[in-house]
Amino acid sequence: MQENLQRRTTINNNNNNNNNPQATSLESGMPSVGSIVWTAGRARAQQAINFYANIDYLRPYFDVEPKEILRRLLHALTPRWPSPEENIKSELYGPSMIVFTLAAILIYQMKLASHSVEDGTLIGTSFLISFGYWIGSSFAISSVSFVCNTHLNLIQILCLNGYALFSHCLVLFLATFIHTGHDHLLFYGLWCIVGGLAAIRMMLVVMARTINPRYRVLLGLFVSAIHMFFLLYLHFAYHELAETVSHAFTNEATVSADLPVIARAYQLVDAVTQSQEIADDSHNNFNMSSLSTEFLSPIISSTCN
Amino acid sequence: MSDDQSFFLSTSKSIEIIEGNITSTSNQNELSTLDEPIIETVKRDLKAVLRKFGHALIPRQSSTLLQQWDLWGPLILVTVLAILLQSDTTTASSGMQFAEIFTLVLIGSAMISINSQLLGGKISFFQSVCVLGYCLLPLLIAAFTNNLLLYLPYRSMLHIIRFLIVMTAFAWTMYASIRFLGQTQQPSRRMLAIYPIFLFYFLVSWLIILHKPSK
Repeated sequence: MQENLQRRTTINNNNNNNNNPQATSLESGMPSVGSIVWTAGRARAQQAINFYANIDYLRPYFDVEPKEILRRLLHALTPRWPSPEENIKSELYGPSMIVFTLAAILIYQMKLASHSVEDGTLIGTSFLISFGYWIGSSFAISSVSFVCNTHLNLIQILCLNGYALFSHCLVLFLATFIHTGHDHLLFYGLWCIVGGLAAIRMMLVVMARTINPRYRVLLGLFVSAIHMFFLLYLHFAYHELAETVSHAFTNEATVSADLPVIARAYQLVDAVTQSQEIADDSHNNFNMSSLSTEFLSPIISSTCN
Repeated sequence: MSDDQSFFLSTSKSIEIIEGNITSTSNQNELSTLDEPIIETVKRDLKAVLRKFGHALIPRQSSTLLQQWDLWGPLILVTVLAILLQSDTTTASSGMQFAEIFTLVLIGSAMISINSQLLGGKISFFQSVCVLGYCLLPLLIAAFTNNLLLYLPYRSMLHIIRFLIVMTAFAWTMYASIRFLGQTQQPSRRMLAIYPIFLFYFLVSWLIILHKPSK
């Protein structure tokens, strides 16, 4: 496919050289349809080439093994001062997958909380937030670390920041699926412990690469503050209604289970009445209804329990 | 009209090139099917789509889905799935909900194809849209069954049954897509390519499970 693309680009270039006189024949004041079509096609071919060239530029950063990914995920939550000769080979597969997982968890939370968005879709919003935070905060950290003279380049910061988002995924996942009586306490505990571990890990790596002690502290605080505040934002913006919704959902399930059972029982009662062809309806309905209450009460008690 | 023609003829270099390219030999095959009746074309395309549905339901060792890809099947499946998953009948949000599934499938397919290309696999964007779309068939059947089951009483038992049906369909879908897409990757990196597919189908399954009917 790439060979085809190269052949096509050489043909395009040749045709460009041939058609340049035609494309620039605008002195009559009226561009011909052919020239408009040709320039549009050439621009699109250029964009396609740039896109493929960018893919090739990113390819070395996706050269990892699954074991390496698992090791890095575990190390993202274990803070330790990195040794000076340690060279972090940065890769982008792990961070991208973590950001996608975060977007998926956000979509699930928004669906559960029936969060409605005016312009755009829920899915668009969650992708925007996840990717926007990852790339935006990495650029912010990269700018501040440039000022503080840190020995970290953008790709390494993207990698570090992405792996730190693993703590966000873990905390939101646990907070969404585990509902106890003390939901807020659980979240704050997880926020401090898991979020804190990842923040400290990122902070130590960044601080180890900064020489000036004052800048070191400043950058460390900046990095951990962004990390912790984003987790708080995600929880309060998208998870707030989830617990009330889930409690309402379980209550609704027990209440509505009774009604169909009673309706069914009455249907059975009516069928029995009609099949037996008893003349006195009111007398038999009274009998049937007393029978049905005796029949229903164990059922109601079993569904409530 | 003749003035325009003379104007175009004066810039004749482009006209020669256009005349030269239109009758190129690479278009011979497509030109030969241009004269057949439309019913023949529709029948042929429909048979191809139905054959691919069969491949998606019962995954066999064949490369039909990858080599002869088409986008009709994914379009039909995603449209039907989007209609089934609409839960709000007000006009304001129903459009957004319909668009959600399309956005999800489009973004998911794009990301999965970029990811597998970056990991060294040899698959194009349209091939991956084709495979992912066709493999949605079991989940569509589960969504349809789900919608039917939602009209029955016995809610608490029903949740468990619905969950089991959708999870079975999810496992079936994953198996089918791994059979088709797994072979485009090196064995050691297969898990890396499978994880985004797992995430994508898991999200669609949860959207089906969370679907509540409109009241």
